[in-house]
Amino acid sequence: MEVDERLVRHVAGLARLDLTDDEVSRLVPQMASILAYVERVAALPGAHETEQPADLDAQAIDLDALRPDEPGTPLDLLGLIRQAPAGDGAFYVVPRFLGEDEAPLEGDPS
Amino acid sequence: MSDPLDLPVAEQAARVRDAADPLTARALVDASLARIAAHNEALNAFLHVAPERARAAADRVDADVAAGRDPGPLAGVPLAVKDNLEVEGLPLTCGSRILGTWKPLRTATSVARAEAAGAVVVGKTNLDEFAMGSSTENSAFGPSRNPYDVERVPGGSSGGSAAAVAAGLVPLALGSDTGGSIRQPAAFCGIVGFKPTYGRVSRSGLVAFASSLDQVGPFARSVADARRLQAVLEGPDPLDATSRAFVTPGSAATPVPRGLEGLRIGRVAEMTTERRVVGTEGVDRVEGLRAQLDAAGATAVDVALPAIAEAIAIYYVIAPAEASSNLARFDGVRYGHRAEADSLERLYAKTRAEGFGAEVKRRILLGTFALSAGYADAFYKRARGAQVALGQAFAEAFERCDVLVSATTPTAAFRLGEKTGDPLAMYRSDVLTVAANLAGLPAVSIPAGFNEQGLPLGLQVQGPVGADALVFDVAEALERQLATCRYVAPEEAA
Repeated sequence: MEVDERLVRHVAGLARLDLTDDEVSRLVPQMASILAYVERVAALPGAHETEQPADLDAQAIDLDALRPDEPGTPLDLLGLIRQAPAGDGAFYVVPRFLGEDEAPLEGDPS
Repeated sequence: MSDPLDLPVAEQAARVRDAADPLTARALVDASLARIAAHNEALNAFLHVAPERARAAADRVDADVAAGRDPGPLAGVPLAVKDNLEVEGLPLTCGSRILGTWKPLRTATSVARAEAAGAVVVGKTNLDEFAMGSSTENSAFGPSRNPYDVERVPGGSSGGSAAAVAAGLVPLALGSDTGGSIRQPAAFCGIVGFKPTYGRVSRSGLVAFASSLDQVGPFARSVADARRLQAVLEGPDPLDATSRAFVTPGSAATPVPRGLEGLRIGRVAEMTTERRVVGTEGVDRVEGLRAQLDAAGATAVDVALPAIAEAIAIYYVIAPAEASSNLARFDGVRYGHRAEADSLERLYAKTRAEGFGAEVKRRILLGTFALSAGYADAFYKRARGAQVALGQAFAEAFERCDVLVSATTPTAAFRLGEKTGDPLAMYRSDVLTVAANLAGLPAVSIPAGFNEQGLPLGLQVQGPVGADALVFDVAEALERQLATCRYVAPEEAA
């Protein structure tokens, strides 16, 4: 398993995670040794079985455990938004994510 | 043992429930808060102490007793809660900076059930960030310390809960166990820690690390105390579709007094194969106890489980994969910390860079890699197949023996900083605990005496899926047989 800076930066991009150059330098040998160790899973018994036994599937999630489909009291949504790092009282606020060239949404005050 | 806080939990609760007894919930909680005030600075076991909330809850218990209402089987007993479990109105950090000052709007089912049984939450305990670690050194708020030697780790990730119980600050604590995070710190701190069968305790309100492996469970000073807390935690919960009722006879709530006579105790040769890598004293200690088990009438059965030696590799694909997905929600929009950025993509990447610590970043990267195009088949899919085969191998092993007994950890508590430079060495120290999570088994760690330096070692009992009661029964019998259960009184701590 070849681990280099390019791979670490690529995976960090997928994970939406900025890394400093120092972090990348540290992570390359660490990821290389960890992945070299866990790579052995491909050779383990069962590793190439794609069918899961029915009883183990059933063990993972018991469909009977799903709660009845009845309306309930949700969490206090405005209370959640009040704790957001940026909110306007009713909505979460995020940086503009439509490009400059794109037409504003209908009703967008900007 | 004159202080009521040091009595068995059943006695504490019985005395609080008895209106004629002068012991009150308020007195127990005040005693616990006083010990926390005196010793937490040295141990860093608690991240947040909630005296007002605790005293108000204790007063409600006492008012119930005065009014002739039964507050429940844990009446007035102080309880510490790992800080990845939600308690309405109290801060929730998960040992991370990324949650900022976030306060949940609900209480985790497990905590709510303990409170409904009369337990009183006194505070939130330290942990490795998002429960990722084996020492609490990955906490953004500094490591907790082992009460037996403050230069050593208490284990992790539930190290704060383990240290709090071991030092006598509280009689009971809650933790979570994804790869050994209850059992390993229990072993390092010389107390009892129980991981229930997957699905026996609701995960609702537990901040998800690896959802298919996470399970909430109790810490206590004795098997009986742990069992008493476990009994009120378990049962299906409409808020967690993986929680369920078990048809296996006997719940954790119903002890069946039994000895070791006739019990088939399995010994897995492969659970000693990594000793040359990660150490040997824990394994040697438990091997040395086997003569005592034989003398008590147990039958030793050698069981082959070759897959168990590979459990670390399986675990460190599956757990990071699930973690990378679960931790995507921490993005700077909904919770806590938010970095300044002029685009949404930059906001996510910068917030997460600033908010997460090194271990969490490492595991997010490992998990993202294991799920990424071109690698998902070779890593994640193969690991899942091997995980299923491991579960089947355990099921076959339990046809030949009733329980498996092993060391909980290869070594006693290591020194702060001893393993932080080598992540793989830290991961490999989980070799004896992760298989139970991968197979969903119930497992407990009980004290098994001390090494030459006076540090505790743990003995682990694992049973078949659903056989939590059997695991407790055997643990109680072993506890009596070994008679090693002790904890550090506060004046000895620090």
